[in-house]
Amino acid sequence: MKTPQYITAFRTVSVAITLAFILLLLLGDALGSLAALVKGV
Amino acid sequence: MIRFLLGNFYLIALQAGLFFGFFMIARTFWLTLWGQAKNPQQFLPSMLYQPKQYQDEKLQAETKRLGVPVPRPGEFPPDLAWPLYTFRQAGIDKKAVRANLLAYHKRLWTWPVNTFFKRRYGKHRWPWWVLLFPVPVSVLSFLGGAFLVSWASYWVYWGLLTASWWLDHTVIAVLRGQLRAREGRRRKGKHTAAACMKCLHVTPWPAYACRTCGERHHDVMPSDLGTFFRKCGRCGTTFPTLPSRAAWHTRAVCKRAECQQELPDGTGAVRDIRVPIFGAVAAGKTRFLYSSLNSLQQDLDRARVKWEYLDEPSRKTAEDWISRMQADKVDKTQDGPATAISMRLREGTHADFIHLFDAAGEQFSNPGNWTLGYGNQETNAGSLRFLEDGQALAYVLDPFSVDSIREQAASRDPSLLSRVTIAGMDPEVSYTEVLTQLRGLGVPVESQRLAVIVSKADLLSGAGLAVPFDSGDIARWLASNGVHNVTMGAPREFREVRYFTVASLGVSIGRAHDPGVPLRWLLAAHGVKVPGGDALLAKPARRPVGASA
Repeated sequence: MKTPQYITAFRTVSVAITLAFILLLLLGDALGSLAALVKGV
Repeated sequence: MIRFLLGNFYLIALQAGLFFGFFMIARTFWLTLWGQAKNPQQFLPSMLYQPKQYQDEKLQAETKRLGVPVPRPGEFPPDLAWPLYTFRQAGIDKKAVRANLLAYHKRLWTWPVNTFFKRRYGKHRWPWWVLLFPVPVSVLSFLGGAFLVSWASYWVYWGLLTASWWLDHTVIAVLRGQLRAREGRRRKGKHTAAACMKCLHVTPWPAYACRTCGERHHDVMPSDLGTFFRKCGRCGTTFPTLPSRAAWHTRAVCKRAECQQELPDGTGAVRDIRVPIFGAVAAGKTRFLYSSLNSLQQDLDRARVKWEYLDEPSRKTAEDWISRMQADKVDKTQDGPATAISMRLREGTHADFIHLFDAAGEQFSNPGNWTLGYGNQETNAGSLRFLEDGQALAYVLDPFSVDSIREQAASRDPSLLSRVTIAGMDPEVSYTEVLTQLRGLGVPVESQRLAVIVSKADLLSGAGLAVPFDSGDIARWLASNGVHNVTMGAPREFREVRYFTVASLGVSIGRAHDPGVPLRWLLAAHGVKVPGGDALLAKPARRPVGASA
C-alpha cells in the first residue's frame, strides 16, 4: 500500500531536523579543525 | 603543511569518518523510510502500521479487558482509518532505522575487525600493528568517527520522535479532549442527536460513510485516528474529524446494521427536533399535525425561508394529507406504524431538521406497542418508539370528550354533536396512559416541553362558546370543566407546559386558533428560528382582529 502523505511528511520533517542538526555540528567541527590547521601551519 | 598532514593522519581520518557517519545515517534513513533499497536484504524498509492492525490490536485489548469477544452484538469495531504517526508508526520507524544502522555498521566493521584483531586474513596480525601501524590507526579512526556521528544522529532522531510521542500524549491529548468537550457542549445545546427517518433510531450522530469508498466511520471524534483530520483506512480519503465538520464531507448513514438508511447531508451536525403528537382516538391529532405543518410552511414561504421535505415519503404523505384537509376530506388515521414527516428549514450549517410523528390513537392503548423496539411494519411492534426520543410532546385534547364542555356545546347547538366526531376516550385517561408508560420506560419527561392542544376550537366558537386564547386562561377553563389531572399534573411532570386552542380549517397565520402556534412554540423553545420571531409566539396567544378580550 502506498505510504500516506502524512506519514511521509512526519518522516521528512524528523529526518530533516536530525540531519540539519548533525550537519551544523559537523560543519562547526570541520571549520574549527580547519582554523586550527591554518593556525598550526 | 604536508608534514602536518602526515603527523596528524589519524585526525584527518577521524574527520573524514565523521562525514562518512553523516552519509551513513542519511543513507540509512533514505533506504529504511523511503524504501528505496535495491538490495532489501541489506536494508529492510520500515513496515507500515496498517489501519487493520490498529483495529485488530484494539479489539484484542478490549477482548482481554472485558473477558468476552468484542465487538458484541450492536457494537462496532474501531473504525478503519490510519492512526496517528506517533501511535505506533514512529516506534516502528525508530526500530527499523536502528536495526538497519546496526547492520550497516556490522558490515562496515567486519573486514577491519577480522583483519586487525582476529587474524582471519593472515597468519599474523603483528605486521599491521608494527610495520603498517598507520593503516589500522587510520582505518579505526575513520570508522570511529563514522560510528560516533551515525549513532549520535540516530539518538537525535530517537529523541525527536520520543518528544513528539510525549507531546502527543500530553498537550495534543488535552487538545483532543478539549475538542471533544467543546463539540459535546455544542451538540447538547443545539440538539444535534440524529434521527433516522426510516427506523426512527436516534443516536448522538450517525455513521459517516467515506464519499470515495463508502467505508463506515462510526466515531469521528478526535482520537488516535486523527486530531483534526482522519484518513480513511480503505481508500485514503481525508476528511475532518468531529461530527459537526465530518457531516458535510461524508455521507450520513443510519448506524443500525439492519437499517443502513442514507440520511440527508448535515445529519448529526445540525439541529434535529422531534415532536411526537399523542392523544385519544379521533382527538384531532392528524388534523393538527398537517394544519400546523401547513401553517408553518406558509409562514416560511412568506418569510422567504427555504424549506423542503427530507425524504420522498414525507413529501408524498404531507402533500396528500394537506390537500385532503383543505378539502375537508380527512379520514381516520389507519392503524399501523407511526407516520413521520421530516422537513429541513434553511440550508447548509444553519439548517434545522424537524420530525413530526403521528400514530393512530389505538396504538397508544396496545401494550405490545410499548416495547419501543425497532419498528416492524407487520407486527406494529415499536410503532410508538418515536415517543421515547422526542424532545417535545404535543398532546391533542378533544374538548368534546370533556362531558361538561360537550353538554355546554349541545345546549347551545343541539345539532352540533351529530356533526362532530368525538374522541372515544376520556382525555385524562389517554393523557395518563401515555405518561405512565413514558415514566415506566424511563423517558425523561421532566426535561421536555408539553403543548396541550385543545382541538376543534372553531366548532366550539361556532356553537357560541367563549374559547379562551391565553395559555393560563385555557388551563383554568379546562380545570373548571373537570380536566384536573392534566392541568394540575402536567406542570409538575414537564419542564414547561403551555395550552393552545386550535382550529384546523379557515385559520390564517397570526390569527386566533392558528394551529401553527403550538408547533412554532415547541420549535422555538429548542432554538429553531421560526419566522416572525416572538411576535407569533407572544403571550397571551393572538386574538382575532376586533375580538374582545
